[in-house]
This record gives sequence, C-alpha cells and structure tokens, in this order.
Amino acid sequence: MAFCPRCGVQTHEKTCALCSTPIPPIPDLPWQPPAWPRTSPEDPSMVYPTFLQRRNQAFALVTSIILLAGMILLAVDVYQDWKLDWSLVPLIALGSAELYVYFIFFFYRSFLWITGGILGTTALFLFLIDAADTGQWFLTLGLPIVSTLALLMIPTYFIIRKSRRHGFNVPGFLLAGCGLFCLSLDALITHQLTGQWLLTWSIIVTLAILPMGAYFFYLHYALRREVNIKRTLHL
Amino acid sequence: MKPETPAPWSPLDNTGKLFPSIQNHRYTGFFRISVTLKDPIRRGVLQDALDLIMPRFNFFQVRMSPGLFWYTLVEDLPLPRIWPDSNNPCIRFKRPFRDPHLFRIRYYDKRIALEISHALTDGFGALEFLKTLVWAYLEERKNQPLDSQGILTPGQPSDPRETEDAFLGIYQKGLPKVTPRSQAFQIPFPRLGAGNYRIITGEVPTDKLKALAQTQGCSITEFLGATLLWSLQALKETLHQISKHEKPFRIMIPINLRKFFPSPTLRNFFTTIPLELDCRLGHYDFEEITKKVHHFMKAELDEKLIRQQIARNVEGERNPVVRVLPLFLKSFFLRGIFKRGEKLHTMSLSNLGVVEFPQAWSEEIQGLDFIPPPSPHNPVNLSVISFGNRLSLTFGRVLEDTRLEYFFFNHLRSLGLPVTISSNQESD
Repeated sequence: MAFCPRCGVQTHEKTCALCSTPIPPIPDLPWQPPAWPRTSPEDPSMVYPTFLQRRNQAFALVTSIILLAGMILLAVDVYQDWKLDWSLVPLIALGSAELYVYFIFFFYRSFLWITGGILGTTALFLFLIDAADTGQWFLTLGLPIVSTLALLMIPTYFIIRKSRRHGFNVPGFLLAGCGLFCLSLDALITHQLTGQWLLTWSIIVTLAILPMGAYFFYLHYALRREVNIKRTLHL
Repeated sequence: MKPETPAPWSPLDNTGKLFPSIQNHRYTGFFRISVTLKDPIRRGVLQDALDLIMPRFNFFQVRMSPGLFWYTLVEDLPLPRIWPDSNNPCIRFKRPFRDPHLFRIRYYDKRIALEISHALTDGFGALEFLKTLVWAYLEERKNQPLDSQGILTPGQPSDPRETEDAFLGIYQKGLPKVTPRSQAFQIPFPRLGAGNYRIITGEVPTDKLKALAQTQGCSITEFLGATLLWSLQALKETLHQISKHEKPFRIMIPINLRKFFPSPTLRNFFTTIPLELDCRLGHYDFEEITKKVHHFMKAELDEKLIRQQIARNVEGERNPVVRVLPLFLKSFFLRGIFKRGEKLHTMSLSNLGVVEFPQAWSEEIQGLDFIPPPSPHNPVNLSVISFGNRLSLTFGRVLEDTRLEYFFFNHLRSLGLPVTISSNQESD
C-alpha cells in the first residue's frame, strides 16, 4: 500500500485525505475498488445547494425584478415625450434598493460594512432625490441626520460588543442610543425649520425611554447572577 | 363492513422523543454501522435475509407519526427494500426515493451498511440488528445453518422488554438538579452545503493501540479522548490569531447504560459524560491530558451521577407543562433547547467497543465501521468500533477543512501506530 509522503499514513487513494498531498503511485500494486461509490445521478441521497449558491440565486432574482421594474418605468416615461421626467425619482429609489440588497446579501457578516453600506446608500439616495428636486435640504438636514445615525450606531455596537457579559445591558445601550438619536433628530429638524437649536418632542420621548434603559442597566449590573432573587424580593 | 383496525403503535423512548423534533435536512439523526465481508454482496440474497429477519425486529419496521402531544411509532409499513450505497451516507433521500422507514440497508462491493435513526435505537440496538442481518445473509448465501450464539435469530420469541423505555425503570425521583455547564469551543470553519457529509476512516491495529493506552495507564476510550483533546488544542493553537473567545474544549462521550443497569432493551439507553480541557490555563502535554482524562472518567462513571442525569431527562418529559403543550410548540422549544445544548460541547466521541460474532463464521468478516450522525452544530464527530485486530476510527464532518483529523492521525502516527486512511472524498 502507498504512503503519504507528508503524513506517513497508508492509503489506497490518489491524494491523501488528511493533507491533500498527491500520493506517489506504486507500479505493481494490485487494483483495489474505491472505499466509497462514486457520485451518480441514480444516488438517492439529496444534495442541497450551498448557502452561497442559494444567496447568489436570490440576489439574481431580486436584481432581475428591480431591473424589470426600472425598465417598465423608463419605457412608460420616455414613451410619452421622449424625456426623462417623473420616472427619475422612482428610478433613484430602485437603484438605492438594489444597493441595499447588495450590502445586505454580501456583507451581512460584517457590521461595519453593512452599516457603512446602508448609511452610505441612504446618504446617496437623499442627495440624488434632493438634486432631482430643489437641492436645498441635503446638506443642512439629510447628511447631518445620516451622519448622526452613523456616529451613534457604530459606538453603540462597539460598546455592546466589548461588554463582558451580554444580557439586559444590550437593550439598555440600545435605548440610550435611541434616546440620543431622537434628541439629535429633533434639534436638527427644529434648526432647519426655525433657525434655532431647540428641543421639543424629543424630551418627552427621551424621558420615556431613559428610565427604561436605566432599569435594564440596573437589572444587569446591580442584580448580578450571584444575587438570590427570591431572597432580594422576599419571596 | 368490518371496521379497519388501527395499526399498532408505540411511544418513543425518553431520548428518542427529542429526535423527530430536531431533525432536518442538515441534522438527519441517522448514524451508520457497516460490516465488510470477504466476498462481494449479492443484492437478492441480502433482500431475502432482510425479509426473513424483519418479523423478529417488527418494532424497527415503523414510521414516525405526529400526534397531538408527542410523535409516535406506527407499525404499518411494508417490508423495507435494499438500497445501493451512496457517496454521502446518513443523508436524506431525494423526493421520489423518500422512504418512511427509520432505517435503511445499503450495500456496496463487500459492504453491508445499516443507517438508522437515533429516534429508534442507539448503537447497541443497531449493532444487534446488523449482527442478525449478517448472520441471516451468510446463512442464505451458504445455504446451511450457522452458529447463532449471541444473535437474536428470527426463530426466537422476542422479549417484550426489548422495546421498553429503560430510562423509566431506573428513574429516581427527588434528585438534585444537574449543575449547568458553560459554552464550549466551537470549530469555526465554514460548513459544507446540506447533503454533503465527508467521512475519513483510519484503521489501526487494536492490540498496538491497547498496548499504547496501557503505557499511559488508561483505557482505549480514554486514550482516544485524550488524543482528541490534544488535537483540538493543536487546532486552536494554529487558529489563535482568528479566535475571538476563549472557551474550553468539551467532548461528549456516550455511555452504554446496559453495563450499569442490565436491560435487554433495543431502544435508546445511553447517557453522556463530558471530557473537558480548559485551554485558558495554558498548554497541556499529552501525558497531562491522558492523566486528567483517566481520572475524570473514573469520577464521572458513577452510578449516582448517571441517575441524576437520567432524572433530569425524565423529569423534563414528565413535567405537566411540557406534557400539555401541543406538539408544534414542543418541537419549537425542543429545537431551541437542543441548539443550546449542542453549544455546550465541541464534538462527540462514540466508542461501540469490541464487536464479537460467533467463532464459526467470524472469519467471513473483514471489519466494521461506525459513522456518527451529521450535525451542523458540532461539525466534526468521531466514532470508534473494533472487530478482531482492526479498530476503525471514523470522523464524520460537514466541513471542508481536515486539520483536526490531520492532527489526530498524525499524533497516533508519531506514537508509532500504523494508520491506514480512506475517505469518501472523490480525488481526481
């Protein structure tokens, strides 16, 4: 029987199953049938497509639906007066939808890539919509809202990830992040409308959210695992 | 008109109840034991032998039927047929070939293989069935009566206790709860697509392995468990740059309870003990690991501890809230519990031990192989079986990566053990 020059194990096969090293052939070795039958169409065992194959198929399907919708829009619009008119906004929306799907399908494992991709697409979508219309609100409202969202989401994610124990502190951090975002959103909108940095509705929202977040932090950090809940609550 | 009598049915055993709820196209719950003979298999003779023995094993000729609260086993199936072997064992069949039987007999060249669902039986029950099939096959082929000592032959009346849920017999009420375990290291490589199951079998001489284990002062199972922990440590050390969370390695070892609580049951009757190595404490030498494993197994193989584990499982089934939950809700929760449970160990090492056939015809047999069920949660598992002086070590994996097997067999090689490898990977 032949030996694998790398592992030193004996084998009948052409390559070593352990290290994939080609096995040097021995000329006068009697033929041995393979240990397992070869794959054949008659094999009743089911082989499913891999996750990557299914993902690519799903992406191709979604892309073709978006392309079809875009072509119909374009055809209907151009057919009327041979000019790109009302279809511009839905075409921008369809293009953005395609980018969203791309980032979700291909970067779902990396938080930074998917967040960057989705927020970047959102910023691009807002910029194009604004440019197609009046070109007044993207720099003063659209971009600051997206940037604030990015500045809050990324640190919140890293704080959650770096925390030693994951439990009630996760909804606590998420609620704190939501509260801060509401405050920033309110301030940006009020500034756009009135020219003053004022907080209005966000105070009520934050006052409702923050105690809940604080309660989650209390549950997580004050009531540690060692605490006997029955004893604490006199049950 | 005479009303049609309902088909006889039986409940699943305590362990078997879990499997119909958790099995899917990735986790089929089928494991496999095969016998390689010295002559090529004749399909017709094998079918005749199977038809002959099925009345004796009528409790295996069942299908899974969902009830309102639990799955049940219903005995209304025709005789099973023989299937040609496949490159991907223990995998679901394509739709036109779907078979409601919970086991299948396959053949290839000189090999007869039994693939059987864990819902029906464990390794011991499957082995008893396969032994009878091989006996019947050889008797049919040779056309002469063969020695049937230790074989459950079709002529014998079956013992009603063969289908009992033996866990209930040894259940002891009022035992304290089992201490929960932490999560274990999980092998991180990407999984293969569903329906792909890679097998690597290593054959080693039993006497040499036994002598090697004895020099370390441990049994074969302990020695192989220690080798596996050593290989996991070597694997982890190569991955150190990409590993994010340090968790201990934990290998689950199924234990045949018939050795502790004699029972003729052919249903599931096993429990598991964990072997653990905490890599956060530093690098362990192989000798340190064997010593640790040996003492740990000695401590864990305690009848009282085993009873405690069984009490937990039986109480889970008898819990009044669990009992009244409809099946779809039970299955939903069981899937979650099983997934959580799988994260508590890295892999499993199942040793069926030395298999013996009657002396008169054991020379017809070349060897036996045992393949663990495919699992996406624990992507690599090891099964061991021994016959004569051939010990078969089979890794079943749903990964492309073979580093763990490489470390394992290379370690055995470095200890002076000759290893012969075969696999189901097509190489050309």
